[in-house]
Parts: sequence; C-alpha cells; structure tokens
Amino acid sequence: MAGDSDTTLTTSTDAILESISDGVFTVDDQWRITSFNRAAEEITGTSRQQAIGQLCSEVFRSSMCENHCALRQTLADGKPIINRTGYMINASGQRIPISISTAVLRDHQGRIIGGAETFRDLSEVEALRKQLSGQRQLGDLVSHSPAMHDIFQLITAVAASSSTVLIQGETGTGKELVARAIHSLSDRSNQPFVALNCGALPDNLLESELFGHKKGAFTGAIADKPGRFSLAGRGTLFLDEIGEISPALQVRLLRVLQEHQFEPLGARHSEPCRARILAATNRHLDQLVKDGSFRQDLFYRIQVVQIDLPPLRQRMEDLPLLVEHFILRFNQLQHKTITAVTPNALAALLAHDWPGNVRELENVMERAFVLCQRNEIDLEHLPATFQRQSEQGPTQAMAASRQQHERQVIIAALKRNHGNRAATARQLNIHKATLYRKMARLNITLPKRDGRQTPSHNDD
Amino acid sequence: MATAGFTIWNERIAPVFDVAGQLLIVDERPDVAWQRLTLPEGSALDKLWFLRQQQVTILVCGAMTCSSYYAACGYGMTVYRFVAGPCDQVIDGWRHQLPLESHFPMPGCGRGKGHGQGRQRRNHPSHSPR
Repeated sequence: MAGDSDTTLTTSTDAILESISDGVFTVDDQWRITSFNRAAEEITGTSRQQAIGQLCSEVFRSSMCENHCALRQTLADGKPIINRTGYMINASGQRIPISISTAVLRDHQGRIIGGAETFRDLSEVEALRKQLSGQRQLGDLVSHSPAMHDIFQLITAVAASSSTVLIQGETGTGKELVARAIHSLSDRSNQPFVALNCGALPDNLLESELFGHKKGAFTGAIADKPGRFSLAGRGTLFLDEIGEISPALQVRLLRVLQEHQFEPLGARHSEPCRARILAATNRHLDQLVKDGSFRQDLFYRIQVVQIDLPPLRQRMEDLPLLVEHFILRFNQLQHKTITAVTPNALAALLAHDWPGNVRELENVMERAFVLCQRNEIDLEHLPATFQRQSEQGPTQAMAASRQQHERQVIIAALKRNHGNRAATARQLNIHKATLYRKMARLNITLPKRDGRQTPSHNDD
Repeated sequence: MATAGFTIWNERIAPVFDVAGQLLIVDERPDVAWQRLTLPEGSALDKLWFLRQQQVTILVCGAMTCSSYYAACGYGMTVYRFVAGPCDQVIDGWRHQLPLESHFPMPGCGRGKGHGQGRQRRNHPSHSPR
C-alpha cells in the first residue's frame, strides 16, 4: 500500500510539474540535474534528455550561476530564496529576464540530498512594464519631462533612417546613451556599435585610430591595424567630442562623409565606409564655425539631424525618477537591497545645481551605495557639500527646489505664450498680479519683446 | 601567432561570458606559459575591451548574448561560444583544431542551433597535447 501511495504521489507531482508554466529542475549534491520539467525545456531551449546529468550552471546559463548562485546559498544555510531576479541566456543567445526561487531537497531521514530551483520567464512582464512606463524610458534614457519626450520621439524617428546625427549637450547629459539608443532602435542593432572620443587622442593617433593603418605606414606600424571605420562595419560609429578635431582631420572626415570611403594610412586603395556616423559635442559647433575653427561644410554634413540634450537642472522633475533608476541599477550591480532615499536626502539632491548633470548624479548614487549599509540612503551617505547645503534644513531645501521647479514652469509657459504675461497667467491658472509677483521673486527677467504684439519672423 | 582567451570558472569554461570573472590566455605555441587573469567587473563590453588590450584574437567562452557576440566580432575576434567542459580538455581541443562548438557544446546548444561561430580558423599544423 505504501508503495502504491508513493507511486501515486510521484505521478501526481510529475503531472503538476509538467503542467505549470514555471521552469523547475532539481540537482544532486554534485550540481548535476536530476529532473527537468516541460517549462524548463521551453525556457532554456534545452531538452530533458540533454539536461539530465549535466551541471546545472551549463544548462541554466544564468547571470547568477558564477557569483550569486541562489541554490548554493540555500544549500549552505538551509533557507529558501524567493524571487531573486537576474537573466539567463538561451540557446539562441537571447537574454531572458527571470526570477528564481530555491528550496532544499531532503530524504526520508531529513538529510540534504540536493536542491530544487524554480524559475519564471519575466520577458512578458518586462515587455508590459516597458509598455506601461511608455515614454518614460528609451534604451538607458529615463525621463518624464516633456522636453525629453520630444527627444525620445526624435530618436525613434531618426533611428529608422541612416542620416548623420549631431548630439549636443553639456558634459554628463547622456550623449552616448542617445547614440546607443539610436543604434539599438535601428536596423543596424545587430551590427557593432563603436565609440571613439576624439578629444582624448592627439591628432596623429586619432587619425590612425579612425582610419587604421597598413604595415610599414610609419615607424612602429609592425602590422596592419583596422581603424574604427572598419570595426564599425555596417553598424554605427559614434564620434564623441567632434568639436576637438584638427582642421586637417576635419578635411579627411568630410571626404569620408561625402564619398563613403576612406583610406587607411599607408594603403593604396580606398575602403568603403558603410557605418552610420553619429557625432556629439559639448560645445556649440555653430559658434565654432563662426569662429573659423570648425569647417562649415563638415558642420552641415554632420548636422543633418540635431538633438539638443537639456542639462539636468532644466529637468529637475526627472530627478526622483533618475534616483529610482539608479537604485534599481546599483542594487543589481552591487547585490544590495536598498529601497529608497530618505526625504532629507532627496531634498538635498533636489537643492543641488548638478553642473555635472546625470553623470554627477550617477556618481553620487554610486558613492551612497558603497557607504549605505541600511535599506535607505540618507543624508550622511551623500558628499559633504550636499550635507552643508541641507544644513539650512530639509524644509528650506525642499522650498528651494520647489522654487527652482516653479521658475522653470513659468519660464516654459512664458516661452509657449511668446512672452505674453496675461496668456501665461491664464494658462497657469493664476492671477496676472500673482504671476508678476512670482516673476519678481524668482528673478525671471521680462522678455524684451512685448508679448501682446504679434510675433514676427524677425523676432527671436 | 594566435592568442586565445578562455573564460573559466572552477577549471571549466565559465557558463556565462557576460559575467565571467577569470580568463586564461593561451598562446598557440605549446611552449608559451598560460596566463591566468582576472576579468574586469562591469559590462561585457568592459571585458571585451580588456581582452583586446591583452591582444586576444580568439575567444572561447560559454553562453554569450548576441549583442556581446557582435561586439566581440566588431573588435576583430574569432568567437567560439556556447562551449562547455574542463578547460584543459577544451584548450587541448583548440590546439588540435577540433571544431569546439560541436566537440564541447553546452547542453542543448550543439551545431545547427544558429548561434555564431566566428570566423573559421585557418588550418594550423597539429600540435602535440600539452
């Protein structure tokens, strides 16, 4: 009877395991797979026959296997792990987001004989999450500011073309992220994305790095070396700090853009350039053209489409969202479980001017993650300058940030209404006198042109 | 002379390149000593950049995402991915010019699965096992 009941139990357990949509596998004490259900076959792309008897890490292929194996941790301390997230790589090389849970397997005497791991494919959840967050995220760019939404739409539109794009913005605003987003949304996404900082290399090195060289082209050229144009192939070549290149190199670059071919140093023949060129600068290229230090013809070749990234101080409404984004990211990278920043810390972050933009915020958050041993990042985990700024108290810091936000809203509304203060007040749903008072208090200068006049084409 | 990089873990090919921590650099010439290096933490691109700095032209690894694979190819590397097994046997196989992806496949990732195999190696003269 006991045998019959055991068989019935096994059969029903098997039936349950086969019917669920979560992948389940069990391992022995040597990490070799002893059972593998139908969903596990589907998610990993590996059949049961191929999986049984193999090392779980080579079948499961998860980002956690090598350093953060949940099953190893469970077998070491006997505690189950529920819903740890990561990703696995299926047999086609696709990255699949997953959550895993683990449990210890014991025999009738209660001795540990292995472990069980269930894993859930989160691809659909991830897709839905992205759909719900809608325009809040594009690639690694995160924003819900209207200015950035326009840029998101522009990125999506230009990704479909092969046009050269000029990305302008202060340092740390995310120019390379924009370039990567354009690449990943384009039909070149399966091809290489190659980046080069033109400001980081002296002219002769930069030339060799861009175009490559042939053996014997100059002293020390002991072998052929492909340049970035070659390495980019049919992908995307991102040239950062384009405003720093010399006039001589500008001529060579112009030729590549015009003729779609280039000559490696010391080569006898030209090679075709099939890569899409994206360029970026933190300087105003049009001003450099006026000054005569940047060629006008090259400027027009590069600036087929121009994307201007606003500095962080002009989109402070994004700061809490960016903080949330970095918390998620650094939790994954540093394997921590920080949930939030305290109101005091957030107030201090909001009161800062962020001259280094999003990169500065990223560095501040990374530093806070290193120092924070609790679940919440507090003021003490921020750099000293932030703590001094907030010595005036969180209420004052919050007031300062509110004022800054208010100022931006009024300036934007004035711009929309061509400086017409009555229309601006109506749009903001405040009395005209309140608007005047706020403009005086927030030091908003009045537009030179009277907004009641019809805007003419000559007006700025 | 070709220099191959093998990402390793527990003396086997590491299961996932994108998070691998250890690298074994092996020269085609059997008399050149192997080098064991720590790969930089961070993204797969950081690891590929490190491999490039080490003059690695052939990469043998476990599972690798398509994006990392294309990036490696962009750096001019020949990639043998979805390879599994004890590293000394795989290295031996490489020196004997065995087709690594079909001789040492990860379970479920054998030939014909459509994953990349990098450029074909030229025919090298056979080397005696280590």
